[in-house]
Amino acid sequence: MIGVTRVHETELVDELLNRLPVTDRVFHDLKHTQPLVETLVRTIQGTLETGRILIIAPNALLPLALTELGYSVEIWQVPNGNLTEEVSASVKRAGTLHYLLADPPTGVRYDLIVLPFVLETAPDEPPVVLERLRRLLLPGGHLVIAFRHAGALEHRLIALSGRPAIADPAARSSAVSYSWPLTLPVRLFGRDEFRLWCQRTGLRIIKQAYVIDARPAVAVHAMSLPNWLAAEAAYAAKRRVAPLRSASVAVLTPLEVMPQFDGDATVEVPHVTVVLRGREQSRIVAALARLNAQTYPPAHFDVIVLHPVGLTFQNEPASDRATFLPCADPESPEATNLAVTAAKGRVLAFTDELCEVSRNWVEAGAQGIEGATVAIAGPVRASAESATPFLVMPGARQIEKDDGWFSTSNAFFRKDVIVNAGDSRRKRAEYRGLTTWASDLAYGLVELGYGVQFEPSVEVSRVFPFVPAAESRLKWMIDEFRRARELPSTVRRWPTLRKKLLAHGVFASRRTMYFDLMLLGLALSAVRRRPVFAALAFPFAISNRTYLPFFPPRLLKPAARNLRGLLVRHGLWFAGLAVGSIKARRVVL
Amino acid sequence: MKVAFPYPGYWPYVRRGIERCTHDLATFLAERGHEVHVITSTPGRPRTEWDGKVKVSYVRQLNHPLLFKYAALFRLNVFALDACRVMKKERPDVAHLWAFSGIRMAPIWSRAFHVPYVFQMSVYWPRGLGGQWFPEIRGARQAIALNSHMADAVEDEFKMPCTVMPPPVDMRTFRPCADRDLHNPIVLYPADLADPRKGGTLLLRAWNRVYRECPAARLVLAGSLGVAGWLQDQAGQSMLSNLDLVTDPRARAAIELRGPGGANSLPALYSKACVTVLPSVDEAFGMVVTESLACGTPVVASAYGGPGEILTQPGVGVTVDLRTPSDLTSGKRADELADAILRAMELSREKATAARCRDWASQWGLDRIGLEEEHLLQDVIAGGGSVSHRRPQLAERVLGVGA
Repeated sequence: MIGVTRVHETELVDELLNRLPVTDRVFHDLKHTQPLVETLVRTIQGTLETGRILIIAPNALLPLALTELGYSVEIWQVPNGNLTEEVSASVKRAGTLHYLLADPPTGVRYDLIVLPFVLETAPDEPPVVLERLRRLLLPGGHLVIAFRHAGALEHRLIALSGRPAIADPAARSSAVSYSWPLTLPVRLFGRDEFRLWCQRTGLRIIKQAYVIDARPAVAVHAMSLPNWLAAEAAYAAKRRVAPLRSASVAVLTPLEVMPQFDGDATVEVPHVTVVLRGREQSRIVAALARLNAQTYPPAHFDVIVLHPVGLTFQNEPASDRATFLPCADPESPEATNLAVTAAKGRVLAFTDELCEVSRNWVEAGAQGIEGATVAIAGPVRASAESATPFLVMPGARQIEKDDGWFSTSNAFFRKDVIVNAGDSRRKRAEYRGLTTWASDLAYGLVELGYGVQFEPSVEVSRVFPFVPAAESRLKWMIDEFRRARELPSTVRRWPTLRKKLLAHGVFASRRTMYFDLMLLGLALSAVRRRPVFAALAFPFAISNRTYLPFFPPRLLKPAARNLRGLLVRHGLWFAGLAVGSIKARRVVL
Repeated sequence: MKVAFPYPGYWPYVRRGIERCTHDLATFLAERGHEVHVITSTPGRPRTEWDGKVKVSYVRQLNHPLLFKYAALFRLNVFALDACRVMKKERPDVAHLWAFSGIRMAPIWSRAFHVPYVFQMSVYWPRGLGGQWFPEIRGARQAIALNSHMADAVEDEFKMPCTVMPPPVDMRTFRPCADRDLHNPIVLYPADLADPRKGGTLLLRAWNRVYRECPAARLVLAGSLGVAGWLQDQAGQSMLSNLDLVTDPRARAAIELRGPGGANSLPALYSKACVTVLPSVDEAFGMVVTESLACGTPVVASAYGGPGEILTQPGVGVTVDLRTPSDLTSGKRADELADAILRAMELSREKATAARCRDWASQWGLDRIGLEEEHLLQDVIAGGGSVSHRRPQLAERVLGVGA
């Protein structure tokens, strides 16, 4: 019984191999390539409990093992593939890969399709092949794909030797394989390209792993001692270092919402709803006026304004195309959800009252949402009226390095995708960051297999006030602390973001790193009573020298004020990051 | 009687040559009520199984790339020790050893455990080196050869009587069982693709012309690549490494590689083919010849060795003058082979050919050869043997007329 009592794949495949009525040569070819069969069997057992499986270009062992496990197996066989009589009856189509994949029959659908070493051999481009096979899957079906990836040890060695990784077809040997059909690769690709192809074809990678596809040597192939030692050494290296392994196995499933806009062929541009958050009436009105001047066709976009209860916009001339939603806290995720539910547009654009958007902002953002891309973010530049950048929490807006950060002030999402993703994400209690929800959402979509992008042309200019006029100092301090506290949990959830955002994998920014270094220096000099440790404060002082002009003496006062501001904010952030790090069990300082 | 057949390869893992012969004889003797034990080896788990009424012991194989490179015969010696161990336990009344059963210590073992054995020579050997290659033949109660020419060679070199007993063909398994495709005639090559002695490269040269004159024809390669891992494609000698001998790309595209196929698929392959080709030299018998004839398909093969002794009736095939390995690289012989294949294709179009072929093959039928084997083994157990008993020519045995 599959799923109830999971069959151990090594024992199963060993037993089958012992029973298989094949010559020694076939036995040893199958034995040589047994590790990949075991991996595929294990993967399929973990993916599908029972159902109908299609295998394209299999060896003899894989369909036998799957049949033994109770699956209903069908085979598309290619020339030069060797099967045993037991599985020959499962062959439903036979021909070259080009023939098999060019026009697959549409009548039959499968719970799972297995492609061992097919993508790199198929004459058609992989996205085309994936798209065709996706259509053969039943709802909730899976694709299990094994491919020789570009980073494998043999490819690295070939690259070092200067030889081409893919041999000229005319120079290829006429070797014979009695295991996987000898389908010679016509392309070489890595996991990043594979991920992009999957995104483009609406497939989500559920899991992917580097695997060992074969033993070091075929037992009946004579090898000289040096060759054998080299093969064993390569095998040992592959066992120890996963990215050197020859194959990669991925499990894919179709996305619930297809990346492309479907059924909308007659509409030239999608309808966009801009969600504008604000607290001050005058700023909101100014922002609405800027949105009214957008180059985007007016009939194709509208605005939802999230504002505090008590503001009225009835007499404002710029409020024609706006819907006003009063709420307790316009910045809260609850308010954003309210806006998402009310939005009419297929694309949602998020900004706030402090942003000055360019005239083509909506147009550029809407154009960016196409094909596999379901979300884009752009840079948020500090406007001239802003307080100096050191006063802004890292991660709350883009700095030059933060191209992975989705700011709540400048982000575009496809509504159907985020609504769908929200269903599965609603259970996550931690997904409530005031300033991190956009990044959380974007990286959640990446995890689900969708494409997101950072688009430099979708730019806004934003005022970063020293302390917003409408807020008390205490509230501002609480907000800064909360923002800092949210960051570690967001970073912990999304490893990709961690790589893009953090300095040296630990620090929220270089500025916080220098501040932490200064704290450490001061602490050490106090504890050890050695003033030399205070030298660790130099990087902080040098990096902020512009804001701390202690000479000439007339500037001492503003410099001291700035220093106080710096220390207060860094102190708040440090506290927030420390608390957040403990809560998230991921150190970000 | 209790009979043991020790041989490193066996049915169904290997389904050609000695392995098929052993399987057919063992099954026949077991059906006749004898206790038959096949001792063989497996690359997988050692075990004992029953193949119908035949007990089969699979002993472990020793396989390693370094052994194949530096001590290729070591694996055979390990099998011989294991086989002797099993036979010591089973104590058969008689053992049937083949050349390359590998039990070189058989004379000593036989005397120590009082188990007589027969030795069947199944390959040609470099003359003068027979004693070195097959020392066990000297302790055999009866020497057997697959054809009369080989029997003469045994008697000449080993100075001992030798009888002829060809391999049987099971006429119930090998029978016409599929329609022949005369529009797209199949030229079937069922021999080992890795063994240069089988003449695969000569066939590729000939295929250029065969395809030119009959563009609808297909060449089907249905042999294994190295029967049991012994013959590998070293130094690019296999047929597959020489596909570029077929110069016309269309002719090359008309070549299909089928692999050794399943246990029951071979009769259908023979039946569908217009002609079976075995352009080998030093062929001791050529079981594919009788198998193909039993399926009603004419054969093209050498006029010498085993095939030459089978194809003595013009209506069942065409022979080519292939005697030495140098013939396999000759352009002239390639032309002759092409001619022979085209003639045999014409022959296969004649309605009477299939019946004639099958009738001709029946003289090697299992029912006849199996009985001969039974009598021979019983003679050996009874203390007889050591006779030079030549089989009568076909005309005397089957047709009852002079040759």
